[in-house]
Amino acid sequence: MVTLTQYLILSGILFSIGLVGVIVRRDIIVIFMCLEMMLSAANLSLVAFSRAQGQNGLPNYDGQVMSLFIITIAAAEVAIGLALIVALYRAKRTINTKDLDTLKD
Amino acid sequence: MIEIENTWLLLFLPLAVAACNWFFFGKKGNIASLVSTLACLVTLIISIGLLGKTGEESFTWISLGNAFNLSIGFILDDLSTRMMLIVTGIGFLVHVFSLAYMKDDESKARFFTGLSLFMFSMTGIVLANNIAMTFIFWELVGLSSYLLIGHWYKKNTAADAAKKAFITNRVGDFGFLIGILTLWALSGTLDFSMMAIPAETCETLVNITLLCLFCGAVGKSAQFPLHVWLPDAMEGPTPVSALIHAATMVAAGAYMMVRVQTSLTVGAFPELTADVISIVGAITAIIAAFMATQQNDIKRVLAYSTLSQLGYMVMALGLLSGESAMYHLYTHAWFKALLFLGAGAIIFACHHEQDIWKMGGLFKRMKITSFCFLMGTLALIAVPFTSGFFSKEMILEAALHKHPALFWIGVGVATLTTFYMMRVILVVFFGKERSKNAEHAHEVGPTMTLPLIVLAVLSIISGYAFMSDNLVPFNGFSAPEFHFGLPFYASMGALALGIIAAVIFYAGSPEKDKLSNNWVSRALQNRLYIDAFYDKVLIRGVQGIGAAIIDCLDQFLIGGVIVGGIARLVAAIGGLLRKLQSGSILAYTILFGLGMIAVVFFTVFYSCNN
Amino acid sequence: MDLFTSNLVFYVFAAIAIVFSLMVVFMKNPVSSAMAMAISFGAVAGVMFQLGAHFMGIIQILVYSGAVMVLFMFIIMLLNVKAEKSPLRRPMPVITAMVIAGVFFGQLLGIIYSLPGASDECNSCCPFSQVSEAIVDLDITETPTGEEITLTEISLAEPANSIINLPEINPQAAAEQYPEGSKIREELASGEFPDTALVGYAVFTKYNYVLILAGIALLVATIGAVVLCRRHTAK
Repeated sequence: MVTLTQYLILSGILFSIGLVGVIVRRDIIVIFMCLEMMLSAANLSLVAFSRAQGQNGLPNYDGQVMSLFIITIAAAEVAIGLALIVALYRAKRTINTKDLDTLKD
Repeated sequence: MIEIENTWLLLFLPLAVAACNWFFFGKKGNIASLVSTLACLVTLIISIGLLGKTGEESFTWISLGNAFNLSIGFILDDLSTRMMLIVTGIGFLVHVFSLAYMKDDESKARFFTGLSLFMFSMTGIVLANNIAMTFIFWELVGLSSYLLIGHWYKKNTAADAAKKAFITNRVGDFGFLIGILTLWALSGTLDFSMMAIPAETCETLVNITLLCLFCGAVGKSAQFPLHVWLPDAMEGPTPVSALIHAATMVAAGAYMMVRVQTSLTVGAFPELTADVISIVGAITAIIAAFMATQQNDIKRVLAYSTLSQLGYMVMALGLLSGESAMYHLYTHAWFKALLFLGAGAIIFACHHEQDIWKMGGLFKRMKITSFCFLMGTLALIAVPFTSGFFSKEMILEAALHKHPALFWIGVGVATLTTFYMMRVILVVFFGKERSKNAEHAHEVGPTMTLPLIVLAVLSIISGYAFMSDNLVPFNGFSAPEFHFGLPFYASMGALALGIIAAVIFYAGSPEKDKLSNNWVSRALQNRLYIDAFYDKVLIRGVQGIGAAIIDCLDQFLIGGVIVGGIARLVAAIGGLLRKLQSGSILAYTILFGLGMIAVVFFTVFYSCNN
Repeated sequence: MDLFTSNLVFYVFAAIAIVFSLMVVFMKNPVSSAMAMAISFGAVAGVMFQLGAHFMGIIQILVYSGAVMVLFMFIIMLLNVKAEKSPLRRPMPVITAMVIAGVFFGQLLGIIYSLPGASDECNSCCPFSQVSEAIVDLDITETPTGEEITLTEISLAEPANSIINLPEINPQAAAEQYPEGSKIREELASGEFPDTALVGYAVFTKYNYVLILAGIALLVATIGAVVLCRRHTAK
């Protein structure tokens, strides 16, 4: 039997893998991709909850609507983020995080 | 007609006059001087009216709950009313004298303000009904003395002398304050009429208390070792010297001790205290007398003479014979004031020349002044039937009965007194004139000579029973019967020896002092090097140690440890924290992850009630 | 689908998603990472299908795999990103990251197992178990024809507020919630499951303001992207 627990554990694993990717990788773009993976994992857990809280034979669509809007905002965020990365590349000619240290003291 | 309540007027009128002179008549010296003199006359009249009355009144000034009340009030008995008579009497005569002496001075108003302030403070000491009030006015008298000695403050010597007087006084006052506190602890009250030391108090404590109180007298009355300020105080104008440093302020120490003796009864004074007091007095008397024999400034001679006579008074106090001390204080006040005012007249006449070796032959030019001065001298050297004779006899009598050694010291001092006073008389008044100033001297005006005449009369007759029984400040005083005994013969011998010695060395108009070129006289002229010792060793030493400590504290402690330490600490913390801002995204991300974990932990797993 | 197939589908897609996510993190070439990511998103969409959220699954593939990953590919090609050194060469950040992720996952497990009803199951131990321990109630009744034995299966009493079991989808039961005469109602009543229409109904009635705001957000993002990438020519 697959219960809610399984879905949540899957979502947690995907989120953790995304977190590892954000910390470990050195390209800005790949870091950003792992960020998207974390968002998608959150979406998954939302949809699972929506089904689990279902009443009267139908899922509770509030969760799914929220997930829809998260996808929307994620798409917008990706657009802006990549625009920023392009602008950064134009300025710095590098996307290696080790060279992006102008926030240093 | 004069009631007891008028005592408040007696106390506060001089203060009002001082304030008035300072704020309103600051530029009008003539008006200020007249106002001051008139006020002093009023206080004299009130004092005369209060003679023979007794009473006590006070009001509370500061109240600290039930523990401590500081009150201002007066106590009237023979001791205080007759002392007031001396203070106001001499005060009035000095005011009149100053009208002429300070006529050409440019800051007359300031001078008379100072004189009025002094009258206020001295009245406070005399009338005080508790010892805390005595202390307050004690300090005020010190302040007035400072202001008056430094009247001509633009002269460096005068400013320094004023400072020296005040600071030396303060050293004595420190002991005085400790004595007051201990006395309060022992007897539970500060009022003179109610204080008593319990009989079972351990004797060391009583000794300490009384000796600390005596410290105040040592400072104020210029006993050894705090005598150094009185000769320098002669930098002030002569009327100031007459009023303050001869007759009244320096007698305040003796007065305070007698007041304490009256309140605590003579029996409360242990042997040790009494001996210490009398020995201090004797030492002062003898070294001052020696130093006076080689002084060339007429005021300095008189200053050392005052020191010596004060030594007599303190010695009498130590012999637990308060009545002879007050008797001598009373007679000394009149003739010493006379001598100082006379010296003032001479100085004025010789155009402010003070060196006796530049005077001479003044007897034929200033007859009245010379005659009065001579009368004062006779009283000082205790020629029979002058007032000084009777009081000195009484002291010597007391010394003979208790400590014969002190008796012979007293006799020696009498010899030296005669010697140096005759030296002054012979050099100043007889012989040839030694300078132009002396040649042009002429008699001074009546404003100056009248006080001299009054004082001369008093210094002769005030010793007789009809005067002294009614006027000596001591409760229940009666002059002793005169009889021929060892004291009489000894003091006659001293008198004769001193006159003969002075005539041998100084008669016949010598040009300069024949005795002055050996090491003894040089030591005496340098005041036995006591002053130099204080200056080089004590003052410089203490200042040096203080400077070294402050330097160490400043550089090492404050600069290095506190300021430097804080700076280094802040820099170190800043250096540590700077590592957080590394600019590396990896570090930021790791911190972000840790923060996330912490947030989840604290919101979900950990609640404040755990 | 029956229960077995449903569970199998879930576990297969879950495995694919996890494997390809690990490939995203640990592959050197960013293009490979992007491709693996696209497949991972697809697997997640599969899981969503299995949950009955058909619309969300389609949107996941369309937007994430179809638009976002294509955009990432585009930027990778544009910026000509080179392959970096393998992350495994630098042990320190990897170990730190694993520790942090591990702790976080542990916290998540703690939260998950604190959900009501979760700790009674040990589902993770036997994933394919279909056996539910049944309690048989033996009821012997006296009838005129003889004894009749009735076996009634009583399943384990569920905890009163357990939420972890996914309820069945029963369209007919839900038909009354929807307005009379609407198409949704007809379809539900006839036993079909129009997932898209149901999501759309919720979005356009209950959350229509949020929808408008989401549209504005997209507009702002578009304008922002254009603004940020302008070339600033010297005037």
